[in-house]
Amino acid sequence: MFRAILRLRLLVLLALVGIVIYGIYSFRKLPIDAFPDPTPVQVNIYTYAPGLSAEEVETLITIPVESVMNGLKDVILVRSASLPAMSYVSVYFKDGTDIYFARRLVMEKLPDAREKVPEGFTPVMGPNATGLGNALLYVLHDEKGRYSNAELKSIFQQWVARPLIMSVGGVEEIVQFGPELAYRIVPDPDKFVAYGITLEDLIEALEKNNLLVGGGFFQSAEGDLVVRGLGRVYSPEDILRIPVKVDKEKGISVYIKDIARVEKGELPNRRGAFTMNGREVQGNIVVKRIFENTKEVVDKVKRKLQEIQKILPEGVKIEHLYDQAYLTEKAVSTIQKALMSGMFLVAFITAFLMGNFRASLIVISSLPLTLLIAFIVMRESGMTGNLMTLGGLAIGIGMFVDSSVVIVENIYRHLTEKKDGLKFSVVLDSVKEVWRPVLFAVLIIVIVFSPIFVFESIEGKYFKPLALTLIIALLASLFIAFTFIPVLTYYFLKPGKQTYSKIMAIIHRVYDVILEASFKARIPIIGAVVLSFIFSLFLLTRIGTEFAPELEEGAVLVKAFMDPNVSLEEGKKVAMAIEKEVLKFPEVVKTYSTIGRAEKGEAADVNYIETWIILKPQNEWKTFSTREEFNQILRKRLEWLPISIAFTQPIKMRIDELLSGVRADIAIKIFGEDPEVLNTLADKVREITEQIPGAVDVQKEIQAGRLQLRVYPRWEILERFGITVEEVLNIVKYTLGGAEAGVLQKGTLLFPIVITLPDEFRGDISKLKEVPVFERDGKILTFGDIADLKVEPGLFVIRRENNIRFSLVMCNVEGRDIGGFVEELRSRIEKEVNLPKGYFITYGGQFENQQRAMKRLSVAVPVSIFLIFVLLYLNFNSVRDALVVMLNVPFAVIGGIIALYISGFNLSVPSAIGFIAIFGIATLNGVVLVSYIRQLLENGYSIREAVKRAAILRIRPILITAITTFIGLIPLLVISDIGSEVQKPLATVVVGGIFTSTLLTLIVLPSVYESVYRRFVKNI
Amino acid sequence: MIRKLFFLLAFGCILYAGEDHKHEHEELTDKEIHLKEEQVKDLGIELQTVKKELAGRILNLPAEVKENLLRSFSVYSPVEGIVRKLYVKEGDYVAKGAPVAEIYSPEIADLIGKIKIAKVRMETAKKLYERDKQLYNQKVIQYTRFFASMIEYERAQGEYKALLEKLKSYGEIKGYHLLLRSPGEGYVVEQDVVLGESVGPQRELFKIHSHEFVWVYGWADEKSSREIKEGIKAVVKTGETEIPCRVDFIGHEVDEKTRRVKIRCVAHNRDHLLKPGMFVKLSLKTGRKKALLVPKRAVQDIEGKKILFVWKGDYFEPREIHVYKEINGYYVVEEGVKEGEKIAVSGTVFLKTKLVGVEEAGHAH
Repeated sequence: MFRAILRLRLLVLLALVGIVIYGIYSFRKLPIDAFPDPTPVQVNIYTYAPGLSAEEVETLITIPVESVMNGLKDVILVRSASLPAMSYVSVYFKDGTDIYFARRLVMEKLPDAREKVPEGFTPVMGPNATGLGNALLYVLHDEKGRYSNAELKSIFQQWVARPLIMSVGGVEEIVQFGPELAYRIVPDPDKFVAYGITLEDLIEALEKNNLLVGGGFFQSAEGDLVVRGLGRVYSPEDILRIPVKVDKEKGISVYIKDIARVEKGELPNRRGAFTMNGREVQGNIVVKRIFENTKEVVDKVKRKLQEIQKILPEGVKIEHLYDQAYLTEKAVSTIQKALMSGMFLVAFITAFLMGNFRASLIVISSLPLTLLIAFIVMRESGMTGNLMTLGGLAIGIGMFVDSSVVIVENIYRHLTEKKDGLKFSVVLDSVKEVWRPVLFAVLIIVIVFSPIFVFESIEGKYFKPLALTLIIALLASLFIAFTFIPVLTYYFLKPGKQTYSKIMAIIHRVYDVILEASFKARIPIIGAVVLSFIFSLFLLTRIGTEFAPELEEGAVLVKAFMDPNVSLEEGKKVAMAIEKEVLKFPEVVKTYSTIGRAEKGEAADVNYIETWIILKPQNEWKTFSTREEFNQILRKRLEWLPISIAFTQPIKMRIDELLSGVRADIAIKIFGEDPEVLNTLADKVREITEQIPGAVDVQKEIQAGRLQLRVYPRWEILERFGITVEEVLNIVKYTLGGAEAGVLQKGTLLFPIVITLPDEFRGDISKLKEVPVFERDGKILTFGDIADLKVEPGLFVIRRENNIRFSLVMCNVEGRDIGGFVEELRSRIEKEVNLPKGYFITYGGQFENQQRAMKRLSVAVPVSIFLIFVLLYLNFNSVRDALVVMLNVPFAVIGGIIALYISGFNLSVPSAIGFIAIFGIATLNGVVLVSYIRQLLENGYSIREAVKRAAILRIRPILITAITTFIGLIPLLVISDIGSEVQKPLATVVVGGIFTSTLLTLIVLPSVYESVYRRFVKNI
Repeated sequence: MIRKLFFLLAFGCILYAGEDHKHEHEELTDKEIHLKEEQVKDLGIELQTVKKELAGRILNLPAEVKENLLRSFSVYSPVEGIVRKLYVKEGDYVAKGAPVAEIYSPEIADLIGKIKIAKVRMETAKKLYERDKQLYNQKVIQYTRFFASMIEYERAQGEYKALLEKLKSYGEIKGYHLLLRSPGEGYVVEQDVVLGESVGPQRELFKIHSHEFVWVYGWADEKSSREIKEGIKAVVKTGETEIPCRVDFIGHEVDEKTRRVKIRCVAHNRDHLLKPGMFVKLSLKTGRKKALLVPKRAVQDIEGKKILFVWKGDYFEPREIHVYKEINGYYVVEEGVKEGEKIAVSGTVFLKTKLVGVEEAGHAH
């Protein structure tokens, strides 16, 4: 094979050029994302139920929908939240289910669900987006103050911006905040009494006097005429002209203008708002479709926004606020920076150790080639360039040169030693000599990374791509080392003056001395190693655990809860007050808040505020140095506000929510039936949680205490006058529920017409009771006649998971590892909380993943170690040699743990992957050494001689591979830009592990091998 | 030793727990809510000074202006006839006794004819009587004959007088026409007659009404009507203007249709702002005692207590109040707050949160 490659060398060289060009093309076209989307396969069903309370939503809508969805194939979890006027059911499918298949299943069952819920309420499927779908936020505002927010939304957002943005490929939905324009009929109930008119008359008049019908065609002398029946309302004056009733006694008609006024206002019962820098604006969130590339969508939408700006009237501004691509760019550029600087460092080190400029140039050239091939494969297989995939490349940068180093080094050595040999055969022989160990080495690394592929859910989605790109690139580097490198050396490498550079010679001399010493002090050295291993295991218990370090998003999100009974107006005030405090920091670029929910979408009410804070780059921070510190200062400054707050970051919050359905680090769920009991238990749990060190932002979700205005129909009156409950509730729907009573057409736009009671009536229930509603048997009946109106506290939100209600305590953890925190919390709760029968507590959130990942790892790591052993055994055909090489595993563990301990990182999934990586790398060192010892033994050397000679001769490749890997990771450790946080623990472990394992391989392994060999021989 | 330590520890725990317990039961009203004025403004908390006000309900009743029946007049023709002359038209002001129309009636013409005949007959009878008297005095004729002519004369005289009386009863007669005069002062609000028309006692010719005082009928629901007393002052509201009035009658029955009770007010109709048939608002305040009133929205229900937030310059002091009764959107406070104190009247839900925390808000004790 290698002979063929060398023969067709010109062709290979051409192929090389082709790959470079295609590689660069692929790199430029590679879709870029922030990180793999961890959203589970999930379909949301929401039902908008105006006028229903949480209890009714649960019984009438949520439970029927749940019961239908429970039976679907591959459903693993059904979660729901029932709020006043809103039901929200999330159906989670088994990992790996095709999302379109899942949606299809839900779609098929939706008609069943529709049948089970009361008429008038329609469960619909949520947008086909992931939890990280909120790709971009923009607002509309009028600088000249000519348009109200309602006009901005109903005219410019709804009919100008929305259709244009929706036309952008990859946009699934636009979630819109702000008021909607409506023509409001404000009746004067006193006039009703005077004219003998009821609400029923008004509603009926509106329904019957605002129509548009087609009249077909009419042949006339003028020609064939289209007949149009224009009964529609075109202006507020038209509404006022509508006759309500003919008073037969007096012989006059009563018009709407006699009993009401019409005003241009907003649609009532709004449950959300968007404020920015202290005032209300019209805000929108662009939701991207699942699997779409964030950056592409964002770029396209941004361009669209500029186009839209051109067609908007003067003064109306469309402003881009935030997008996820910003983070993507930051993160990817960070990783790119790490990659580039890693490449330079590796190049420098190789050149330094090889001592030959050409040889090192060839070795270095393998690096960009490897990356280019990796990019080609990634693009072709549909992977994206993101924090994890590019991170995989950054981590492996030192490993990718290894194969080439070994091959070039061998060729170079042979070329120098056999200066008179035929270049073709020298190169061929040298490649043939080392290809097996090189292949074997790469295989080992591939094998050690295989356990990562057993990861599931979020850890799988995060770290599988990392392992996969690493493996792809490793294989690519192997491919390069076997094809291009021999050809390149054939063309460009010349024999050196001496095999080893001066530096190498010095290293050899020093190493010789050390080696001698190690043979003499074998027992103390081994003892020290054993002790330090035990010590490192002890250290391990002192290291905290977490799932993964937090990504710095450059933005902070403040979640604030208020009393459940605040109004939207009051909520806006608080949001603006928060923004005011936030803007006092010079580091804040901008801040904006969402209050409650947009017209579609989330399970939140107006007592919930999310304030987004966009910060300047970290190096411009002055009043604080870390995000945690900022949070602490801000938390203090917001203390005066009547809110309960928690800090997070925009994307992190979404991920947390996806994991546990809750937007916090830890979610403690108390399951059971009775809301009262759940509430009491939650109080107790909250108390305990607050006492545990490290707990911040402890919040108990408010699930009760929402005041309701209950309309109890008075049956005896209804029966007496033959009024049906439907008629009563119809009135409630129109007058209080703000249901549309018709549309007003302006040009091509339609605006809803609604009936709203005058403000003074809304404030006083006793007045509401006096509003005339029906006329039956010549008698006028008021609201108070037909129904009892009572204000009573009710439930605010009812959460269910797999059909069981639960209450919720949330908290974040600061200055402490989550794993340990949860352990302490769990044991305290178990001790102190007495759970009634049928009640139980579960803990969810980030740590769940960490525990699950660790559990998988606790099986996978031993398996991978065993696999390494099997490979070694196959290679050496000797249990003894395989075991000796395996010594590198504990060697590496020592360094890894110590590095982790010193750096202060927690034991997280990335650091665990670091351990897996160093197991592979460390064993490689051993393999290189031991195979050479064996070769020398076969050649008849005595054991001492063989060991020493092998060690001396192999120190160069070992050092080069170790140092390149080591150096390649340094940039990741040093830079602190956005996106480097996740890779840091991994890099730390690898750096520490390589350091100790290389050192110990070089110093301890030879002597251990010798003594084991001696004993083994004696035994025989 | 260990046992001692354990004991100490346990003791400490109990002490700690005891303290904790005490903390939990700290009085709500002991806390002060510190807020800067700017913060108060940011939260949209409005302050209001507590004042003593009439502790009555303000009732706004739908009402209609009606004519004051004591000051309405009609003009009828007492006889069948033809209108010969009209002195006034609709909208004219007429003084009491001013002529409004002249009616020609054949009945009257007939009567006048009859009077003339009766007069002739009477005069003839008189002459006969006077001759017979002379003759009797001269003892020319017998007493019987004289007596007969005397009776004849007296009868003719009576007939004539009766006819005259009849004519007089029709009213003022001008020639053969009957002159109609206004029975009272006022405006001609209705005219149902044209010149030359045939009219009679069944037909109203003019309606004259003095608008100086009008009646305003309000419709109060049963509950409110019980609180309204005769003689209390009220205000008629129409558009921007307000006209004072006085309640002089409260209906004794409930209206079939609206099931409301009639409340009548007499209003001095200055500038003639009120016109019968107008829909207006009748605003009246029941109850005459002064008391401390606080808006309901200023009060938060916390753990079953009604809490008010008093502004002390740089902090709010929560106060429990005792409420006497509730009247349209206000509480009548018995104790807990003094006149002149400033209280928060909006955004109090925030102050409640500051007092008990967000989570506790849900507790309905």
